[in-house]
Amino acid sequence: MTYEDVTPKIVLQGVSYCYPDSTASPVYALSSLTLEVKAGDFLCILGPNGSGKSTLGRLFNALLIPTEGSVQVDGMDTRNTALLWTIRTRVGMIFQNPDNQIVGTIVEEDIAFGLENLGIPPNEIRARVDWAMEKVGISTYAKHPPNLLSGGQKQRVAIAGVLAMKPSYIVLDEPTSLLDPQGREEVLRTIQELHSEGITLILITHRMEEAMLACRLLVLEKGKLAFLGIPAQLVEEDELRRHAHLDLPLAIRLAQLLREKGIPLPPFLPRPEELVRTLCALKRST
Amino acid sequence: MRIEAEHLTYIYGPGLPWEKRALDDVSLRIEEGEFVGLVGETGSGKSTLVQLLNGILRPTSGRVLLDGVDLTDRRKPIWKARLQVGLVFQFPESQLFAETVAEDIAFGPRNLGLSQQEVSKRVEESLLKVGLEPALFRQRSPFTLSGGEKRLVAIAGILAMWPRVLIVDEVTAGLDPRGKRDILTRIKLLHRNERATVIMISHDMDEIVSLVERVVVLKSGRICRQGQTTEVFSDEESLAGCGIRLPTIPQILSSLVKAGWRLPVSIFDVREAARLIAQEYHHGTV
Repeated sequence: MTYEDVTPKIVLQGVSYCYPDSTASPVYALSSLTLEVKAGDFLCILGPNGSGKSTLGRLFNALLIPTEGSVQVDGMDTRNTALLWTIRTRVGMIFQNPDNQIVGTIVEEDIAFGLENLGIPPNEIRARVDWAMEKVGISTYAKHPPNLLSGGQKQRVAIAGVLAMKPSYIVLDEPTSLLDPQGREEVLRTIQELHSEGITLILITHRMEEAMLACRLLVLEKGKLAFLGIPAQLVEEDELRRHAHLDLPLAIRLAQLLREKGIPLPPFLPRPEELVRTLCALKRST
Repeated sequence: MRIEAEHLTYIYGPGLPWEKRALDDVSLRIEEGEFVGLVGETGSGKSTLVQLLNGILRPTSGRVLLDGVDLTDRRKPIWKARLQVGLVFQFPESQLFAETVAEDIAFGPRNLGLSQQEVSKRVEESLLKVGLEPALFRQRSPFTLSGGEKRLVAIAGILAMWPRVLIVDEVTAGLDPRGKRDILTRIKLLHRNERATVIMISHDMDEIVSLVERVVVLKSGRICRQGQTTEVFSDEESLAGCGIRLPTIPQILSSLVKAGWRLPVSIFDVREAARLIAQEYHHGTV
């Protein structure tokens, strides 16, 4: 069997992770997590600080190896060190702070960095860098030094760097939390486009507005799975949301209140524009 | 404490190729006990302005008066006036340095030459003000705290100086929802109970409208709009001209108004918005 024969997916089987600690009682950042992320999924991971989100993110591409259980990427076990580079090429990673992820002195060099390290031929590098810059909309900054770019632009440079490696999966760990509203919008638009083109996304965030864009949501609490389902389901789970401090986005809260006041809105409208459109359509038909 | 800024101009690197006029003829008056929001795009001059208000930067021209005392008068020592304006920088937790929380908060008051007894009293008091139980936190290392707790300790360090004005710059950036809510609640209480003058910089307009009475909008180093929160956030077009978008609820109301609904725009409370929309839906004519 070759690895290509396996249905593309990431499978976590009974995964626990315990950070090495000198104290007597080990602290589990994650405990007994079983999860499958299929190709084409857009999974969002929510949970308070310290709930294990980032630990989970780092298990997907073998930055961390589970203390117990296994993580398999397209059938490749992350414990197998011989497969490390294949796994990491397949699962790209974007972190919170773009400044910590940029190494090049100009944008296109930064994006080429990973490819050069893989020993890819120069003309292929050129083509992939151009393609990646195009995808995230930063082609016009190709020759700019990254430090002169805005936060949102820098984060898109980081995404292009990962994209140039042609990954199947991208894990994004709070990619917008340090950006201003414009930068956040740029990055969100970019990642939604990547998803629509078939890249599997795993997004770690604190923002419910962003989570509502995902196909599936996973809520962690103290390292344990507290919820796994579609966004519309989480909206119904009042008790769980209160417990995990996950406030509904204002637009969704408004829609809830309007339903209570007898306006027949559908149960789940993730974006404010949809709420407005639906309200207008309903009003016209009355 | 009353703050008056008169014709403030600040130029970074005057005479250098990268010279930048960060503030251009800004005049502003903030009365004792006000809660003012300072908003604007990245690079609009918000952080420069607040650094001028507490004397960290001296204006290229113009002056700052604190209760009528000129902070920019080079003939007078300004440190006393500066102490009255407590500035909480972005990511203040990166400035924590001591071995215990109590030591960290004590650093400022001790430098004022206060007695050990007085210093300890201020440490306790400041911890209580930010909602951290002194008995539980006093002896802990700042580095074992959560992100939100660290930030509260950094704020306590400022409060221990007994400032009469508190300026917070993006104080919730990067925190989880719970940390965010804790900090905002504390700031609201400080304003209400201690009658502190508070200036808050934020990119989150939903956060701004839920807290402040008056808003100052900066654009390219100049004041673009200012006034009561309800007034400033009632006009989508002029705000857009300043690079600011409406908060969620007014945005929805504004879109409905454009579609012919008769509704006010500057409503920030979700329940009130729901009541008005439902009323218009059931009884209004479009």
